[in-house]
Amino acid sequence: MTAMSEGVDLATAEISLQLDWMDKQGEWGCEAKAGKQGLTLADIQIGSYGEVPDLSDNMTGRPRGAAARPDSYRIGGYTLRHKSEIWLENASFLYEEALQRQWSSATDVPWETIQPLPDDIEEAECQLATFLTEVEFVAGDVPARWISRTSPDFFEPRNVLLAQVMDESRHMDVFRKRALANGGGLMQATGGTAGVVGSIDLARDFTEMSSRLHISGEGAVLTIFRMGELMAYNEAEKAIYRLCAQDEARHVAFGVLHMRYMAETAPERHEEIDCYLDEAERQILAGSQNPAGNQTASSEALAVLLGGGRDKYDEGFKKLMAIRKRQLSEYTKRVRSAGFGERFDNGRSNLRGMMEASAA
Amino acid sequence: MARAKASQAAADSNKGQPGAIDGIPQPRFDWTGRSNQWGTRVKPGKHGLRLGDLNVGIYGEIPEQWQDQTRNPRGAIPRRGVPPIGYAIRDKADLWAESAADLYEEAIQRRWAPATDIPWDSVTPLNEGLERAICQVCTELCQYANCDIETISSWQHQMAYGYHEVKQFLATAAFDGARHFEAFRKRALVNGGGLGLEGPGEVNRMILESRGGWTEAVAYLLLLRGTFTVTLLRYLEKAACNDAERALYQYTLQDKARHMAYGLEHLQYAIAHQEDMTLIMQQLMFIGERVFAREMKDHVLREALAVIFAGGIEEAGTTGMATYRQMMTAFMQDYVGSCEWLGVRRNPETMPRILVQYLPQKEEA
Amino acid sequence: MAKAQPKLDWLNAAREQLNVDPGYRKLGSTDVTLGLAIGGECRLVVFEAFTISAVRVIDDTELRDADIVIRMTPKDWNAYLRNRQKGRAASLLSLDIDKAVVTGADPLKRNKLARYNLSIQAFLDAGAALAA
Repeated sequence: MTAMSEGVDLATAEISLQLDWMDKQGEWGCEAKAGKQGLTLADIQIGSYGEVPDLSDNMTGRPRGAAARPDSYRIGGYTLRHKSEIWLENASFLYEEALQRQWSSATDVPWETIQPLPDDIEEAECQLATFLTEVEFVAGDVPARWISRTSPDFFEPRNVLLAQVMDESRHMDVFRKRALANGGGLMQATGGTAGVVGSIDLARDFTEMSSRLHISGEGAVLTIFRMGELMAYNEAEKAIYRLCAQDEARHVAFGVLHMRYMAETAPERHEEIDCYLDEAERQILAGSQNPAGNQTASSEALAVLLGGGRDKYDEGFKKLMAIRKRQLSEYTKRVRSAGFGERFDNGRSNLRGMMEASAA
Repeated sequence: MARAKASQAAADSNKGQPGAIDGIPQPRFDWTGRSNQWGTRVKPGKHGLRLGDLNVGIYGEIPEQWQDQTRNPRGAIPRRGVPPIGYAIRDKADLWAESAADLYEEAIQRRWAPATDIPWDSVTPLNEGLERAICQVCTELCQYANCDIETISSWQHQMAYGYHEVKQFLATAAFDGARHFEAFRKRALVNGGGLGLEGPGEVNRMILESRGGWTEAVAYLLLLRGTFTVTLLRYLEKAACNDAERALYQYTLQDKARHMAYGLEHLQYAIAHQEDMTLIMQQLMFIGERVFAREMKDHVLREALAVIFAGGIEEAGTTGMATYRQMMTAFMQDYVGSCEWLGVRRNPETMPRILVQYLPQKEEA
Repeated sequence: MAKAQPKLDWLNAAREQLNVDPGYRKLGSTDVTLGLAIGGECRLVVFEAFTISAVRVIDDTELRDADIVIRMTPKDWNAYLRNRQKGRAASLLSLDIDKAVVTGADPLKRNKLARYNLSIQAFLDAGAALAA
């Protein structure tokens, strides 16, 4: 028998195996059991494999719990190495739900139910669809950037972000399809997804990014999707809004759960996070990434759709105001759930004033 | 009273006009009538309404360079004066594959969930050597999946939206990586075992550190590592001990093969549209093969595979290693064959011996 | 001894069966043209989107229209179907490793075996049950 070397004639040699690696593996004897929902990520959080480090020293990209090699190449480049920067409870649940609830815009939307619409309605649909396909670009790009910087020791939240990027791709495509499915076309881009100061793109911290993207931006869009019945003109559009709402709810839940985790474990960052929320609240109605925001092309299009035509714009606008109020109300609930509700009681937040102005 | 009547009269006369009611701002409607191509109607076909079906008229004009540095959807009317986002990859030849849109839709249609689509209850106790070997291989496959995730995610957001089909396909490929990462982890933890030793990581490092652009990353991630992974999965499927493993390898193989389809098509496109790309690829593969060869000298993966192929430790050195050699031969044939198909000739005389020894020897005249 | 005749008469029945099978639909869209060259008999099976759209009798020159071709002797083919139906045969992927039964004109086409392995296997298995 011969030991393995480059010069060995592998065609015929009987190789003696070292098998020393069998004594160097991770914790042994683990037997995860599948539950009612199959064998989920939560089911494999057993023994040391379920222990998530507060600070990841994993610079080689090994799976959490795998045995380290002293000579393994360092990947480096992970800027997210503190659990508190990205963690959330129930990330496993959100990820498994995302897997189970994937849908196809090609076949799960009853496109054949779209019938010709009056020109002003079709234009409004296409303008809104143009906006929504554009705004989903942000939600696809930005999490991707953070994924590559996240230590694989935090693969649970990372997997949820990967699911989000997948969901956003689907949203981009479904709204592009809607714009081109009924005799219309893409219309005016808003440019509201630019990378300017205060934008989601330029967040330097994960929690900062999440507060802008998940809590504020996606939260506002979720409200719109949930009200889809009010502005859908056929079963296809109802299906689109319903399916997108289901995905968006998961993304918002990620943001809320992460912020809740921060509230509970990082009191030293409360003031910092409150500043992020100050900024998010300034953007909610004035910013360009809320389709119901102040005097934007998409908000006008929404009002046309809600009213039932340009000649019923005023009626539509009143409904739009109701949606704005609901956006703010849901945002408030979200932030309270995340553990930062004090800002609404101690005068820090100006949201009440914004809600009253919306209702006026 | 008279003032109230006058106000009511004014409201009545304005009825039906936007902004007629006090407090409701006059809409601008400056977005109406603005479209580069109105009157487009795309209908679903046998596959439903697919992304590629939308490429009609101006919406299907995919230029060789995409100058727009914003998130303007292709075919929409851009907003002037928008500050650029800064997309580094703006040339079609740097990322394109004709089938990207179809691969994106296929990925969605052929989705699966490890939690419920793998019959985990079919896993029964195996001899310890075999279980340790399976866990070792699953650990390394988990790490390969991690490399996929990190590589794709770090490049995807740098690609301009003029080529949204590719970005969308890559979103599915990264999601596949997440799925594989969790599926292999689950297999390692479901049968009384645990995770193994991490891999050497040199090839991962090489893939992640591709500075020459996305095409270079594809060459390493898919042409080299991808061909190896596909071969590995096929041999693991053959050696599967139960229905769960068989399903696991069949599903992950299906996903990896889809990634390979993109990779081969993109490299084909890049080579056809960039003058020096064949020479560049030859250089890249020359370097990559050496890194790969160094990693293949490591005994851990090789031995674990030999144990799996032999069904245990006892015959790993004989039967197991024979199958390993067969697997490496299949890999090298497929890898060299793909390179040849792309026009990137591989010269056995300059390839690392540890790889070349698996190529069929040419008979002497 | 009489030469074995390849069992190929199940192809259309398997097509019809799978085209209404939700389990097959769940596997997802499949776009591959599969050639069968069993002894002297050749067939083309067209998988398109969510159905198997056509099964055609062809001659061997038309096999070039296939993405991948399965070539086996009638004896081996019949034995494979029989053993598959009894749960004793390996998958087509495994068989291809042992006996190199699948060819493709180029790496992209050959890759379709792996890409659609689940759907192709489902078709063969439906056929194995019908041929039994």
